Amino acid sequence: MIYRSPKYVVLSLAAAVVYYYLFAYFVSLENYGIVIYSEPAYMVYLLAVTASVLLTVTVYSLSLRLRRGIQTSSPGGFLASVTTVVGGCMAGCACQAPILYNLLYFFGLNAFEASGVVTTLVSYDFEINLALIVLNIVVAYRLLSKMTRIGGRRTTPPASAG
Amino acid sequence: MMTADKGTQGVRRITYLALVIGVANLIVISLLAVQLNSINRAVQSSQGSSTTTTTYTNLTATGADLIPPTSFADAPVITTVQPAGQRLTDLNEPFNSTELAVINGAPDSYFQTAGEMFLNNSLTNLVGANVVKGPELVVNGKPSVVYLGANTCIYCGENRWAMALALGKFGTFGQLFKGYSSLQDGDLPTVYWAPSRYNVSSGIVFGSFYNSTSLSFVTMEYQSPITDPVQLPSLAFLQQQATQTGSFAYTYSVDMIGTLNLYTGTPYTVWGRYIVPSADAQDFGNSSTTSTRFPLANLTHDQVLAHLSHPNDQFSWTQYAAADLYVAMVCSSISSTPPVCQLSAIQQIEHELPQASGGVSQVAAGNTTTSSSSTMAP
Repeated sequence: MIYRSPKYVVLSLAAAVVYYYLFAYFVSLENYGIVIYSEPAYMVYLLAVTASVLLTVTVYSLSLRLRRGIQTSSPGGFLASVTTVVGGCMAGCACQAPILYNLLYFFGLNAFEASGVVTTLVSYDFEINLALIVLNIVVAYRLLSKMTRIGGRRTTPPASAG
Repeated sequence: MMTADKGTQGVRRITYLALVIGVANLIVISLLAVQLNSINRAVQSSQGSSTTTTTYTNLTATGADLIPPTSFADAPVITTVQPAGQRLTDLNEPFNSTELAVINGAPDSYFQTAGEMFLNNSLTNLVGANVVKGPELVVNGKPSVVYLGANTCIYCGENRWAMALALGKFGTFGQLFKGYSSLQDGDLPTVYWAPSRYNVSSGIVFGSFYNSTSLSFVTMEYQSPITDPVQLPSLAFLQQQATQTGSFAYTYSVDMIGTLNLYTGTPYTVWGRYIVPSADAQDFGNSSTTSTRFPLANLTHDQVLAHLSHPNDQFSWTQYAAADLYVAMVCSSISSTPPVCQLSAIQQIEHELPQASGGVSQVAAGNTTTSSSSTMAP
């Protein structure tokens, strides 16, 4: 339904590209300029695609809300960006992880504690990114279900019609 | 009809509004990303260019050097010829005498030329790092070079060449070994200080075959499977392993790294009084470093050594320039003046380092020096 409109197809493609580069940007920040992923490339693409789908669904739901007053919108689009940023930070944890370390130092951890946290996060890198992908899908699915439910109720013609 | 047109127009407006909101959302997050980066840089800058002085306690340690095994039964030399990108050919093979001579006998003139190139900004590849003046670890009466790296790490891989060239000016390597960064972290040919336990899930190899009358070389190489993505060592694990060696040089080194809060990953090196919390160059070959396929990854060890024995391109000059930075830090930290320290380029680079409070002080634990820190860049 959403993707029948070229606008949303374009939005989805554009968002996927932007999210991919946002992801790569964070990876390069973590790696002093080089883009090298600590997880399979398909995970990166999956995260970018699911984030873009979530953003598209959110924008569509927002348009429904504005157009028909259907209460379906959610902060899903924001979540898509967050998952991409977090995923980028995680996938960029290779030899160096300056963003994570400096954040942890900023919050008062010492080097021993910070390295423990980063090492743990890196060892669950794949699982964390998988969870982010699943989160994008689940939120998008819930949003779509809600729209279908509410939209279906609203668009059902009254029995007396016709 | 009129109402329908209005409705369509309204829907269109709302849709465009929604699109704008979506894009704005992306922009806001991007701005947040930039902001986060600024915070990151500010934190680094506050660590690297502070005008305040800090008092550090120097450390002294005595004891026999740790000599690693020349081979590991569970990590034999790999002789299979494999294509670049999936290549572990010659992994753990010791350098022969000709190969060692390239590292141990690099002429001073190469360091001078590269230093001039660094100083006049004629190097394309990036050379420079945050250099922090910190405490000094004196081992058996000699200032030390401390190295914490990982066998799989790409930056360690490309930077070990420069480190080896620099260390070769102050001593000799009795043995070096062929290595790679992990298959999922560039698969770059590199030099290992000791054979790698490339199959273990987690471990540390301590020590090297380096001999010098003016320097101690304290090396700690975290080990994880060479076929997996890079793994970062936890300092707690490192501390535990260092304690088990019974060597104060290693336990003090880990304590020093842990207490300074400059650690953000590997490589982490200390050159006399100077701490370099990352690689001091980005030298992945003769083209852009942002590519995911690095030119260096297509070279064999022999080809890298051929470049270093007759430098004539960006890659090899950058390696020598990166070595120059390390040489300058050592020259600024030791009391003797080997010929390389008398090179004009090295002396000029020394002026760019955080100012030292004096010559090397072989002080006992508890003595203090007042240090400042600064950021060095070409």
